[in-house]
Amino acid sequence: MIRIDHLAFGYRRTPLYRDFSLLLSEPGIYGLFGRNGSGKSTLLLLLAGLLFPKGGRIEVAGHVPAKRHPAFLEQVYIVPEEFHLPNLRPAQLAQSQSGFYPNFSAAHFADYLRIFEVPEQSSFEQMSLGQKKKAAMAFALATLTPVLLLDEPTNGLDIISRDQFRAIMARPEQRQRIVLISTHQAHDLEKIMSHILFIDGASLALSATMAELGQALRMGVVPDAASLAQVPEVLYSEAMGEQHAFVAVNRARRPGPVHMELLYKALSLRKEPVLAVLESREAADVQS
Amino acid sequence: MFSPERFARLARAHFAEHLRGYAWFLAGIVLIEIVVSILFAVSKTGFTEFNTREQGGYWFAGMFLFSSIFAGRYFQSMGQRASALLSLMRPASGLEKWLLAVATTLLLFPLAYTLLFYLVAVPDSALAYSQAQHQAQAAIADWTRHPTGDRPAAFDPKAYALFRPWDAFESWKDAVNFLLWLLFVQGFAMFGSLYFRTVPFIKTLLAALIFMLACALFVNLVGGDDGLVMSYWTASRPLAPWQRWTYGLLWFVVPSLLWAASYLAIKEREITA
Repeated sequence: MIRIDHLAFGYRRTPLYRDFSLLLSEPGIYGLFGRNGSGKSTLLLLLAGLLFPKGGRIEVAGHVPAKRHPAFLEQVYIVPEEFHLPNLRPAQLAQSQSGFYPNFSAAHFADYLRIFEVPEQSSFEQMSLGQKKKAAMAFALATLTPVLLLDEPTNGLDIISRDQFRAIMARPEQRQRIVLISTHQAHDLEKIMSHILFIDGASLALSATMAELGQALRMGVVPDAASLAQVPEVLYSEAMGEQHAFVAVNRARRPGPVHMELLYKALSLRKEPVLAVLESREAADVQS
Repeated sequence: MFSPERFARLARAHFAEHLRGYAWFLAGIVLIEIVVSILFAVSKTGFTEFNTREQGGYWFAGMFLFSSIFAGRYFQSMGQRASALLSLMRPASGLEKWLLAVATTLLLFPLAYTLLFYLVAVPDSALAYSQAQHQAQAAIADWTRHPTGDRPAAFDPKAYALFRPWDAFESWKDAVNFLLWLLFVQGFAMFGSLYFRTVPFIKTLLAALIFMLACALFVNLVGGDDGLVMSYWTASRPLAPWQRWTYGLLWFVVPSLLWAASYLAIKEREITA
């Protein structure tokens, strides 16, 4: 479980979070979105205990992260955007480090390395950046820690590798833990995410499940401007050549697909109307 | 917060990652020793200069120089964001990480250094022994044939015995003096490498220089003797009670504070996004 109460944090004189609260109590894959400089990576570091809050309280897996208690570190694994691997072969990495993580699965590690096509006989220094990233991800995923924090996990991966990552994330063992993914590659991960978090203006602007978003918002593409004019209650639209992509109010409440890139743009550029729709739906759900 | 099992796991992981780097560092020391041997071999006097006293000089100089470099490099990973994150997130307590650093720099490195010293010093001292003996015998034989001036001194085997560190300490105070100096230079190097985020090596050297000057200045300002500060434990001069207490305390407090500061630097280290 991750609980943040009234977090205050900033760098020197630049405040980043003010009265920020968040509760993630259920396992699942949570997408953390926000514009550049909104503090996504900082939030992951705060949750890992690598930055200390200036105010408020953070609790992760029953521990205060800033204390970096070994029992906490056994339960949380973080893969930052800029990562480091010691110059070992994958098997040596598992041999020397797996003992730190009580749930580590050697079988899953071998499986993930195979899926990612990581050359197992090579040391990390001999691998390409993408291969190293996949090896680091394979180890992180095989630790099976209750909390996994990933910062831009698909950066530097080719299209096939991104598919491989999605395939691994969709496996049942990864559904038993809280995986918090900070990313700008919204499209890569929309099929595997269970929950969306959107940070804006030093606070949590949106926290919703994919199902809630699909029920509240209608997203799609129409062939031309005339067709767009027929779509009721459009909240955001953009031209794609002749075609137009849009986000509109889903009055029918039939669950539809969630296009993360479109939602991301709508939230970034037309935040208030989109959030108003989501909040009104939430209020209606509570009343009913 | 210490668990022997976790400490052993931490040590295994640490040496799996760093053993190659340490091996290169130690190989560099052997290389320097070999270069020194070659310099002896090609010099006019050969190995005869490498007597017990000289061996001790090399051992002490090498110990202070190499162990402070080693201590300064131990937390090299903390200088880079990605590798620092990996070290800090390793499931072990700050105390265990610090104790491993203490054990590696204060126990294992001096042991490894001494073994490597002997690797080169044993054959070199044997050569020195035989060359000095031969030279002395030749000088006596020459003098016997042409007896001018004083008779050359006979060969003294004791002067060419293999150096043993414990023989170099004339009293327990010498040993304490050596240990406290070692604790000080290693502690300073390690803390500097943790405290200074950019160009830690140069900044640590500069900080050490400033600290030494400040100490000397302080002692002079209060009318003391800075020579006594540096060699407090071996000084035979009488000291005023305030000097005895202040210098003694300084010698224990400063290294202790440096090592404690390294522990806090590990525990309180943050990584910015």
